[in-house]
Amino acid sequence: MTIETLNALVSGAIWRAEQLDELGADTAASAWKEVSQLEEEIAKIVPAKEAEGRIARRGAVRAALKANDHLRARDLAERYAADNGVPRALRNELRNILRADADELSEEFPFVAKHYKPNDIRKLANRLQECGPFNLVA
Amino acid sequence: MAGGVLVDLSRLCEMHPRVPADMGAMMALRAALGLQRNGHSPGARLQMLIESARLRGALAWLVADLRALEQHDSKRVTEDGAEAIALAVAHETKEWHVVRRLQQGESADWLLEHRGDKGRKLVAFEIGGTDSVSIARTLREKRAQVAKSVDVDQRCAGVVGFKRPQATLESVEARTHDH
Repeated sequence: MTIETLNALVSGAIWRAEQLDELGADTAASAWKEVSQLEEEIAKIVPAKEAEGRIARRGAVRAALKANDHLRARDLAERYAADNGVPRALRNELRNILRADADELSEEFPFVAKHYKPNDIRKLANRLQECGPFNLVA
Repeated sequence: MAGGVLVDLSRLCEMHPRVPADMGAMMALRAALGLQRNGHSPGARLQMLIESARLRGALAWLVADLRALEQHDSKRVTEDGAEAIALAVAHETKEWHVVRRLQQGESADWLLEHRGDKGRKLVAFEIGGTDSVSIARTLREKRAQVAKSVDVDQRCAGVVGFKRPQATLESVEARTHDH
């Protein structure tokens, strides 16, 4: 797929996801997942040394968080930060995006945040999502 | 209209081929609804303030059935309608073209490009709309927001007023260090 096509697709996908978000629709998360995947496709084509490549990398991580796929967001951020020649500013921005999300979680659940680190909560939630409650106990 | 800029919203997707057709059509429809609910009809005068230059123009659009307003979120009518008008004005007055929509967090709604003698320049474009007579407050907010945009050559705030059709586009200095 060409960058032109991907840009058109991601524009439409963001616009749809924003509207579903505003409506509080259940399908908003899957719409953001689509945005994240399209941003990831753009990031595969456009290197991080180009502005549009950096925008796409931040976008892939942000949209994964909006899709409530924190594991994917972290994986993408780690992968992009480890790329050869990635600008330090982008690395910091990716870290800040994840940190802002963790802060939001702490604000939402202050009691839990007093006893656990946001990353531990995320890990637990991811394990619960992947393995189900019985494996969590084991 | 003699001696002015004609901003034809029905040509939005021609001006910006990277805006998907269904999205462009919906944005233009919402612009029509936003204008018509404020009592305007196609051919309405459009006051433009592009940087510090005052321009006169007219707006053209396909008439919408106002009964369709019930099917649209009122805020979306203002926001999407403003985006349709501001993108059309940016094309007609600055020859900017849409590259892509940006997510919240990028401090702008759209990434545009300008191809000139000095090559390709990327522009972060943050747009607001208002049904109030004064656009000053919305413009302040949009200016502050787009100033934080990174990874672009230029930042621009655009505000559209529907009460007395007007469009203001102002370039904004960056508030962060670029890469």
